Amino acid sequence: MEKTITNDVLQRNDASKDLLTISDLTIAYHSKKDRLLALDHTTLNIEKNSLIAVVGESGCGKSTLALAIIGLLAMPPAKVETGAINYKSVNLVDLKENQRRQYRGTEIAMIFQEPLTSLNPVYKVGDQIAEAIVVREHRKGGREIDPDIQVMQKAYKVNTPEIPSRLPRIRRGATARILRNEVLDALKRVRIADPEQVIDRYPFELSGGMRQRVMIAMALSQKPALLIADEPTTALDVTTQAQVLKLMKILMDEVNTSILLITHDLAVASQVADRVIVMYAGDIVEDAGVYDMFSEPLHPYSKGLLSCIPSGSKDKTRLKPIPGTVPNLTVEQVGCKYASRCPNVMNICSTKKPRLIEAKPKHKVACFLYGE
Amino acid sequence: MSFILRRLFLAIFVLIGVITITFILSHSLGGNPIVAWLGKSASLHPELAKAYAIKYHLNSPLWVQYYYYISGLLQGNLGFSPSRGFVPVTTVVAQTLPYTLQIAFFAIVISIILGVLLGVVASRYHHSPADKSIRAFYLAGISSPSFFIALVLLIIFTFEFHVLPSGGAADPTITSPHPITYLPILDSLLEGNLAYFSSAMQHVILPSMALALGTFGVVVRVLRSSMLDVMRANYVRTARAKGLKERTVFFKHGLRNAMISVVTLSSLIVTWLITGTIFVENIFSYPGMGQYVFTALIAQDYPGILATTIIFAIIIILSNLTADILYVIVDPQIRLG
Amino acid sequence: MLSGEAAEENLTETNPNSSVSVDRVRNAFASIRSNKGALIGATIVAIFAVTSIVVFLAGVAHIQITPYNPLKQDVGPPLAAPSLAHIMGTDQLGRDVFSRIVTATPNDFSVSLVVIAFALIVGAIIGTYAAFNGGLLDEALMRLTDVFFAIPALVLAMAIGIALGPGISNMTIALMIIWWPPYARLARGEALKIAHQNYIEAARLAGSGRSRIIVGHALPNITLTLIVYASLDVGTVILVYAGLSYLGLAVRPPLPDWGEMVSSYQDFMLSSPWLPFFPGLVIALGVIGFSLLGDGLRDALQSS
Repeated sequence: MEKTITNDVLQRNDASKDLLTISDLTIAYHSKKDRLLALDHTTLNIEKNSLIAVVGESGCGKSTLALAIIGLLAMPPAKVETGAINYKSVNLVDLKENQRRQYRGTEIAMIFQEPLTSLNPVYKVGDQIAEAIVVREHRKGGREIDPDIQVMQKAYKVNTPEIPSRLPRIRRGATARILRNEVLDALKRVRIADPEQVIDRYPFELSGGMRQRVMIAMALSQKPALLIADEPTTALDVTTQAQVLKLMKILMDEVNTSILLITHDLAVASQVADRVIVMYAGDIVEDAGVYDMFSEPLHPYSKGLLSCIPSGSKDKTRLKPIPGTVPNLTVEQVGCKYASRCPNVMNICSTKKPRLIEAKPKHKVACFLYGE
Repeated sequence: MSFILRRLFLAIFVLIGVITITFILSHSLGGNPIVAWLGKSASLHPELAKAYAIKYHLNSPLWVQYYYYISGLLQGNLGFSPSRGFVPVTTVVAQTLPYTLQIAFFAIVISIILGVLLGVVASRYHHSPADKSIRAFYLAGISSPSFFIALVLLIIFTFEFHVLPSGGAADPTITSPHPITYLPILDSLLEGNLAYFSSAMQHVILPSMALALGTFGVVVRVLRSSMLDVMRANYVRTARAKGLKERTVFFKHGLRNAMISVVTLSSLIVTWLITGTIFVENIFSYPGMGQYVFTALIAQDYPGILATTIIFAIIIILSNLTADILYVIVDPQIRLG
Repeated sequence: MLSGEAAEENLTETNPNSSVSVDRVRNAFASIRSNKGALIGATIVAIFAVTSIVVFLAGVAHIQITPYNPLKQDVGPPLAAPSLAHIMGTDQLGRDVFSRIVTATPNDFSVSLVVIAFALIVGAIIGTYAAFNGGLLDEALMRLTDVFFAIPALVLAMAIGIALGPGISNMTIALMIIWWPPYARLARGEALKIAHQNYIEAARLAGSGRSRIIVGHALPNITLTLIVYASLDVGTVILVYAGLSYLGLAVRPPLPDWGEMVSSYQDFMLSSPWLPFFPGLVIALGVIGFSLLGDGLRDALQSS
């Protein structure tokens, strides 16, 4: 029996400023021999209408975090050991798959790194966006029904289509027109110049930047409250990168969606984020507003990251890479995980693990330099 | 579109190549090329032999003979078949081809349905006991010679359980349908001749199964591996992220893409089917081209064998073209890219 | 579907600057040993191989190793069901079926190996030369393989067979003629891939002539791929040869051959269904053995 989430449950606790709260989340991957600790007692908030950037190198756990929020982690190898993900006063971790799925797309949406392979090559992009819209419409109606791409394909090309009785909220005969217009609107919203052309194109016929816009259009057409973007611009060239980022920032205000931006690139974060969270080896090491983070980073790792960014200034000093390597996450770590590479390491760092504390107003850091 | 045109040119070229090979073979049959047209007993028909020698310039240089060979073929002359009472080979082909097409049709349908079904199950539950037993099953199928499978089916269903008839295309006491499409089973359906239809279906099911059991294995293997790849693809992850039901993701996004690789298989399947009909039709006494080849071989009916080689090649070339067309329909990247 | 984060950095990448590594072969053996299917396949193939060699040697030395003389009639009551005395029963002439099957083992086994070996070697050489020389030879090869693909192997072998006349050697020759094109095509494809890799460039710069490059560097790698394909292909040759044998083109009675045995025992399947069953089963087992071994080899070499 499928339980659907009715509107009033979702509207409860709308008053709070936080959209999503992650408390003490620990996720590990279990294989036959090892346990790999991907997220270690992670805690963070996402407010409404803000863009949070999660920054860190490969393997720091940011993708695991993203997949955990949307619920796409393969749960046999992955396991939630502690903690909760609270979204609109529901703990997503406790939900069964069927209920969890209700949140995907229409509440929490996600776009991925590789726009070419992330779109189905055999369907036109318009049809794929339409599929997303139909999911939204059916959930609104309170009945969850299988959206049929082919029905929709024919539907919005014919004037009086055969509409199955499974669409309670949309009037028959209007569906074709409404759907096609909605798809066109979605494309226009992402500033695609000729949506009438693009709607009938296949993914491989579009450029990388266009494809990523299509992905954004598809995700936003479901009107999610939270959009997770996992390295959305990594596969794009620098100019397109800037365009897409700017677009996402604009859309955030137009559509009333928060964005969780996952990236390894601090420069990307600096361009659009309201807040920046730095992760290292499964831990959150610093959590601050974007200006504070870039003007006065507190954690030694954050400082190290910032000094890695090549700047356009005339200062011809060498780039300073951070010495050492990330710790092996399958081995139990005692104390601060960054201790072995930290230029400010102290004795206490190898014995106790630093907690995330609010060293300055709205600026959290996990480092013994700033207290316990 | 140009893709199809290129394929068409290739097909024609290949056909010419095949004809060249049969031409070469017809001259290797021990001396007298007449044997290729009239069989070993050519000497019994001196008039016909002389007429042929003149018409096909069998005493002229090889190039000339080649030209007349091809023009003869284009006119539909494939020689006379001694194993069938010296009627033209084309007549025999016209009589037997429809039956082979019937078996081939059902064999392909069964093979694909069975293959896709089992392939989907195997990929969904991969590495489970179900997956392993499916693998054992299809391995036995593709490893067994078609005559072995046919015999086993015959013994089980006809002799032990007396379920299905053992010979012929249909009960001879039932009236045959009028030739509309020249495919008896289809004609009987169109005519409403249900007695013939049911009898013919009973007769066609075992030979088709025998062939299908030999070929479904490749479909399972390819589909299973294709499904495993596809379900790991990024676009499947996107489909899930959109909130679609797993069933929708599996079929609309997964299977739809995996089926593309099955299209490429069809030429392999057709080749195996043709080879198989030679044995299976004989065992089930089904009056198709396979049985003709079998009897022709025993009777040293060279015209029959050479002609059927060309016909088989034509069938395979046509099925390859069809597969190419299907490929264009099913994969937009080929169509437009 | 793990997130990309969880996978550790792969520190050992394939080095495009090295040619065949011995490690690949070593890893392959380890992989096969752990693969149950491949072990079963290897066992079956080993049994067939040993049987073939023993039967052949015994034949040369005129020693009988089978329980009964395979050609001798009336060593038991005709059409007897399988029993302790005759494990697979007797045929219509009172010959012991088991002895006949064992004696026939070298036929299928040797024919398939000879054909495959020939196809492999000829195909590798022709394909590689075609790839490196390009031009007319390359085009001709591609078209030739296209033509051969249009005719089923059995039918073509049959047609060539009737031109040559029946007999095991003639059938082997017919099969050799038609079997090499796919290998040449495969070799050509692999050669084209390898031609651009670094160690070929290095050899060329060092002044090696074209032939030396081909033989010394390209061929060893191509051979590996071809061997994997061949191991799965042996089963197909066995099936085609068994078909030819069934059609009476291979062996002349009274010599035993599996396909021919199924054909002649077919008439007795009503009364003695085991008769055509056993030789057919043995053919299937042989093919299964090679298929499993081939699969194992492919998995082993792909994961290394």
